[in-house]
Amino acid sequence: MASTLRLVSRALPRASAPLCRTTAAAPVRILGTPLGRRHLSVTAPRLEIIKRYTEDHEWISYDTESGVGTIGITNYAQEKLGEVVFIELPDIDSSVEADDSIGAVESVKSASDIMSPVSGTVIQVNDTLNEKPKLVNEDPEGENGWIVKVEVGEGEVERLQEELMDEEAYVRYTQE
Amino acid sequence: MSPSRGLPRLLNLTTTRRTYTTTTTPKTPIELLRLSPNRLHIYRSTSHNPFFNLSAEDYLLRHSPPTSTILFTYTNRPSIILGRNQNIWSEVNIPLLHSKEYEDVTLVRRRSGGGTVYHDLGNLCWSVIMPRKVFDRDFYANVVVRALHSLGVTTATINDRHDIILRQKGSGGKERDLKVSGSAYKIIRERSYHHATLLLDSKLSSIKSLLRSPLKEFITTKGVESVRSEVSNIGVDKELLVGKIEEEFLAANGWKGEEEESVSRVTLDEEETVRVRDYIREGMVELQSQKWIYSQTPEFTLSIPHSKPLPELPGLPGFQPVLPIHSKFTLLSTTSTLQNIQLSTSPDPSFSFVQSQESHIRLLNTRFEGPPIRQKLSEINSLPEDVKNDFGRWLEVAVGEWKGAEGKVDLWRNQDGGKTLRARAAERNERIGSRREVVGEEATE
Repeated sequence: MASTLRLVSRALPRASAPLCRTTAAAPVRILGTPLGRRHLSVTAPRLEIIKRYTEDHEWISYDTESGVGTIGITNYAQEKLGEVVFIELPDIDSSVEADDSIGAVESVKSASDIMSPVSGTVIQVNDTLNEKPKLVNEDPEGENGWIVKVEVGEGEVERLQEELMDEEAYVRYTQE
Repeated sequence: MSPSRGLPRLLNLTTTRRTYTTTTTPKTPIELLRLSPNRLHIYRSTSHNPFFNLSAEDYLLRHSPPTSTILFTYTNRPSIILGRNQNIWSEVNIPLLHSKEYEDVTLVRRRSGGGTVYHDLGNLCWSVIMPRKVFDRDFYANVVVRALHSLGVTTATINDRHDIILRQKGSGGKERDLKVSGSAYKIIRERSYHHATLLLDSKLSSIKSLLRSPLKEFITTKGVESVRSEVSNIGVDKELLVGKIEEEFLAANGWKGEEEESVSRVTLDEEETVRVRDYIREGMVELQSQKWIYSQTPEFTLSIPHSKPLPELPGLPGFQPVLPIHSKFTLLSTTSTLQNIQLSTSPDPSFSFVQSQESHIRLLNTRFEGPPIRQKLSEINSLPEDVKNDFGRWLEVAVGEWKGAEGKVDLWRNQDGGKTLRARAAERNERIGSRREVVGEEATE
């Protein structure tokens, strides 16, 4: 028994408290964005949020200051999908390509892919959605219902602005 | 529109009708699907392999012309089909599934959402692949209801869960709903499908027993839980019904007859289809991998209360261990690997803390699988022998072994040692160099 105690106490500092999960301190990474990435685009002035929409009903809001794009599904999409019961989230630090699946939304027995509008690296996922997937219904484009934050790859900002729809175009698209 | 569109027209102008003789074998219908000009397609599968039928369905979803609508019918051999985001151990009676009596039942996780269903040869699966713009959860269920009505099953209707039920008038005017069909859906960019079961002559006793898990009451899951319903068979002839569903499908799509619009009618043979379509073969490999079947299980907690006899398991008659009072027994699992473990039996807080810590260290990162859990449990020195033995034995059977394809499935090399479609696609996307390394590690874990 004594040997067990010794074994346990030796391991103690390393062992995390049971049932207490650590969450990644992702925002720190944002500050660590290479300087070069911050002023990528000539067309995008600093301190601007660029919001764009895809034909698959995702939105991305790109912060020109930090180089981070926040991605979620649109209000139109959540209305169509109905009550969200589960969100599959990607791994932090995984690389994504534009049009790759970065997760899935399950609602009323349907699984819908979430596609990434840009290439980049996942730096944060919205863990709260594990507990409350319905936030996607309640606040799809606000502070609570976002799904992932991606450090947007080089050259992607220009593509984003050229190829994706702005709000006006998206509203027209959904009314077609 | 695509710039290449004008090319065939141009060729038509310059070349007059010519007959070609060719030595290559004619293309199978599934190879021609992508370029088919037809709006409506009717597919039937002769295979009873659930992995093939689900992968073929996925192929039809992703590789059919964007505006086409496809009806696909198939029947699977006895199998349990879980929804994409479900927990195996809270949905399925694993010890019973692994018993001699049910050894021919396959465990499958599908790509669409929803709850767990049981398939066998007395069940008909129907599936409609359609453009996302016209996706509707009830439209094609109504088509099938009309087909059932035309065969005299007049009590068939749809409930608010989009399932087909038989609404029976019981004694005293009380209505009783019996579920005969369960629906699930998958939505991708431009396309979507609605697929469903239809109980014609299934072994209903298997549904009742296999879909009742002894671990369910102890599991708290973040995933999707099934809604239990009373089920019934419809008892009509399968061939006849498939014909009627096809008729109603065409009518619902405004089809006026073969002289006005031709419809593709295709019968899929497993061997031939797998030979010509790598996508389907690789889809089957992925569906059979333990990574998909087991590790896709969303985060969950297994928590066993003290002082309460555990349920009797098939294979362990009369064996109902009880955890001593003051015990704590909680396992947290993500991607079916233990991440947080809290096992203790002692009333003394400091010793129970030691037990908790030791169990955590011993079991951390163990797969949520019967034999490894039993093995690791037995190594915990601070837990009493009898508790370790009894619980190890009970858990080993209750959680069971991981079946299906063996642990290592290489998603990057096909059977001939060549690159898979996935590997080739990744190579095309070499723009971000780190990508291959990240995904590559996954494949060899």
